[in-house]
Amino acid sequence: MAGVTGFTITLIFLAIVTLAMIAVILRRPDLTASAGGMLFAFFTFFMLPGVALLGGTVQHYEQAKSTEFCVSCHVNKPFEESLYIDDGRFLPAAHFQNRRIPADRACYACHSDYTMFGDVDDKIRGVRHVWHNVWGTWSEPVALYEPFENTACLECHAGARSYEEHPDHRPYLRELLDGSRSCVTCHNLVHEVDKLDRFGRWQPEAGE
Amino acid sequence: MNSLRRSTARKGLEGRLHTAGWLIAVGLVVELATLFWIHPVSMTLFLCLGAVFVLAGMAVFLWSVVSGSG
Repeated sequence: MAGVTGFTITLIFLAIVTLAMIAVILRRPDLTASAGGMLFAFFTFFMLPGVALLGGTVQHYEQAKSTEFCVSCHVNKPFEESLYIDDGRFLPAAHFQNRRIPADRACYACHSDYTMFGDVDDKIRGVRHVWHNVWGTWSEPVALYEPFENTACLECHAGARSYEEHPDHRPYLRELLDGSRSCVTCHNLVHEVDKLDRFGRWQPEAGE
Repeated sequence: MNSLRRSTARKGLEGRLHTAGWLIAVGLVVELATLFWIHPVSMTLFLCLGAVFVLAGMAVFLWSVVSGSG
């Protein structure tokens, strides 16, 4: 029952009310003979399903940003594990364990241009990924289609004193901003999923 | 003759409302089922099955209204 919010409960209520109203019309179609009945049918067959559909889309869209959604695919399990590497040099682990990114949106915080959230090509790729995950036909290694963009980092770090005044960053600020130099050129310990067994794991305290 | 035509049209309208009702009901049931499952398959089922059924039902309803008023 993960992800049950007030919005979910409202959607459930709306869907059940709509189903009940549909049942009424299916049992008594003669109701629609009057103008009032037709208005009732308009709400039942058009307005309410439309709102329920829109709400469902928003709900699924929001859920698609969650860490739980991303790591629910087998192929992403090692990437989830990499968030728990007990070594602060690893970029995703350091961000995740220190709450520099929201834990429940850990993947989306840095990979916000992925599948559902990208262009049409990304959506087609997303459906293909689902297909390969269901049938277990993906090929290793799993890699990004495009080089990782600095904008994901600069979203938070741009303007921050710790970033802009850091002696290692200062000479390259312009290049980092225009993307001609990648942040991961230097911060190059990222997920490293093929080397996970070489590193210890951080065990969060209960409640983390 | 006129009342026979009206009765036939009425029956056609009710048949299409019946179809629309079932399509929307199936779509909403799929939506309800997928709301609790946070997984890409759930989202795909919602978009490719639930949403398609609901939209088809809404379209059949609109068609029944338009064709019934003609």
